[in-house]
Amino acid sequence: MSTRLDTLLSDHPALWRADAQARARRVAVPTGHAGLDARLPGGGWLVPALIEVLHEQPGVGELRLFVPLLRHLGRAGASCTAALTSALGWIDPPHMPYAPALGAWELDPARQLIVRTASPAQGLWAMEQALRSGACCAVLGWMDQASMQWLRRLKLAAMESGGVGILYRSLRWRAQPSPASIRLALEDDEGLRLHLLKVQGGQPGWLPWQ
Amino acid sequence: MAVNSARRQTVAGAAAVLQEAPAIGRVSGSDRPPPGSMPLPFAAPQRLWLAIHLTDPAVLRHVAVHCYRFTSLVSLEPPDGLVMELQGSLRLFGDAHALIARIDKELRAQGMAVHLAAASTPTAALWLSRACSSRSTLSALSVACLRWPQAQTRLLESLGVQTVADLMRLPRAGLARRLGAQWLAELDSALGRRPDPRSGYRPPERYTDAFEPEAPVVTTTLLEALLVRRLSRLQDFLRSRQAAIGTLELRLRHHGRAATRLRLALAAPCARVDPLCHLLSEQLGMLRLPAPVAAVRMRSGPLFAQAQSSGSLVREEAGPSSAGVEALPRLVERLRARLGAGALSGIRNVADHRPQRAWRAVDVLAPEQDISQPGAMAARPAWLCLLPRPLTPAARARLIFERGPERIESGWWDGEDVARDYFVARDGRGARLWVYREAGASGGWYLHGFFG
Repeated sequence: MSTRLDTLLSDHPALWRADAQARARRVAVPTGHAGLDARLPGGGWLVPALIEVLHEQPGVGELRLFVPLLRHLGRAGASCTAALTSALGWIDPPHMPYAPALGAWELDPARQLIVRTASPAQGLWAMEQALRSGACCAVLGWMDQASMQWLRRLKLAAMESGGVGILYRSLRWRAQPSPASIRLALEDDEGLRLHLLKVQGGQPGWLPWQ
Repeated sequence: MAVNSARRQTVAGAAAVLQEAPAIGRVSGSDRPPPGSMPLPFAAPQRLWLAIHLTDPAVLRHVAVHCYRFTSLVSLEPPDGLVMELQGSLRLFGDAHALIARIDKELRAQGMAVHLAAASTPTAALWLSRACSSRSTLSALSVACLRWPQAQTRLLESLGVQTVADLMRLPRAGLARRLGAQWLAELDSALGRRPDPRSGYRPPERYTDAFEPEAPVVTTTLLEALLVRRLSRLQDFLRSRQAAIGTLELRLRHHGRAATRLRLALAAPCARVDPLCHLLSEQLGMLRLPAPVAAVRMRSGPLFAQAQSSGSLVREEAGPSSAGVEALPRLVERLRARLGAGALSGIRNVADHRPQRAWRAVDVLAPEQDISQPGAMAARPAWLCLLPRPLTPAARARLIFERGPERIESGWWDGEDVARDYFVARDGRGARLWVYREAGASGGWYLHGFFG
């Protein structure tokens, strides 16, 4: 009886088991901003995670914020918990990621996987697939419309695969609850601010953003 | 009939060679195979080699596959010949003349212009087949059929050597010195004085399977379950051959309707069928069956040799495992199956100063490396607008310039020349933009990118 119970429980994704701790060891990657590091648990971006970024328009540093994290994840031998290859997934980006800029950031253009879908539902599906596949160390998705249920699925996919999912959404979803590990807004309030709306295990608050 | 008589002549020619062959074929017992070659069954005396010379080299592989029915040792001799060992097949197919006649007839029936020749060594058979004449014997064969390099051919010409018999009359030591030992060795191989190893051709294998469900299948769910169960046979097949599969074609047959075809294409060959099952599930999910499925046929594309890797004894802690390396092709094919092949792309840098030409989209699994050199350039935006957007004067007035101008002037040679002054600027709402002004009289302002 107990073995059957064990098998039943061992596959349950929502159950945290103490003996799985070593396997699911989480790593913090410094953000490159001392003020931000101080507010995040472990002093950096925790991997794995689902990070939600709210912003209104491109060009506010929404990618640059994660360059140290993406560079770290992409490097060979990065201490990802699972066996991830170093591809970076882009699901429905608003414009074309520009290869020379990625090269200058030391993100190898040859490792980028750019996916264009025909509908929001397909976009969410593609992001979940990319996270679960183990092929991408991080997946960036521009998903404005995402139900709570889908957000949960994406978070689960990120946590189980050991990768990082970064969701870019509009500021109008600010009031919507979200299961994301970290939720932040990049907004213009007499100068650009990085507003940490939710940080699991850290301190929410705001700091000036360049 | 001309064809018929030509065929008869060829066979007669082969027969003539057969009678001569044992006289040529002498293998001295002291000859050992050169190091690195296989210890040979074929160099033994009393072998029968059949060579085929093709007028059209394009059908070489096709002919090889055809001949593979008669013998397990078919050796390709590109560009336009092949040679096969028939001695071992005689017990099954009977008389040598009849077998050669049959091969000849079958190939000609397929409309192929071929010349057959038999001998006791593969090299001699090949030489004879190139003569394209039915009555030639090895001694009367022109040295042109040997296809030796120009230097050797010229030398033989200057010595007045026209046939193989002339060649054999020359003193051996002098011949070795003047021709080169390699060519003398080839002559020895043809005469059976040296082993003449040949590597065997293996035709590509395919997997085929067909079955009829007990009752016609109406739903795709049931069909999927049946197919997935059936694919376990493919898994056994792949495991036993240590092969990997790249594509699988399915024909779903209906009563009184055209069959439905499905094609499962993996992004990279795989030795396991799970990725195929995933693809199958994706495709069946989108499929509407026009009628119940009465029978299923499946046929694989060519099989690939599977790269073997042994599992680690201890559990690997970090680093990309083989599963991780395989994950990207698997992901790509799943996304392609659902979203279409055009939904995915990769990017690369291009060495061009014009911003819109400094990158290109490539296939996502393209193997080529990128050429970028980190930090070698002035600031470039993370997002590029594919078409520059004109800035209204009002929008232009709100810009706060941070850096610039950077003059980019290039491309006069291909008609897409640009002459622009690029600036990094902030708009009023916190975004950092990459804008440019056309150099020249018009001086229009455009937005070309965002510093994400």
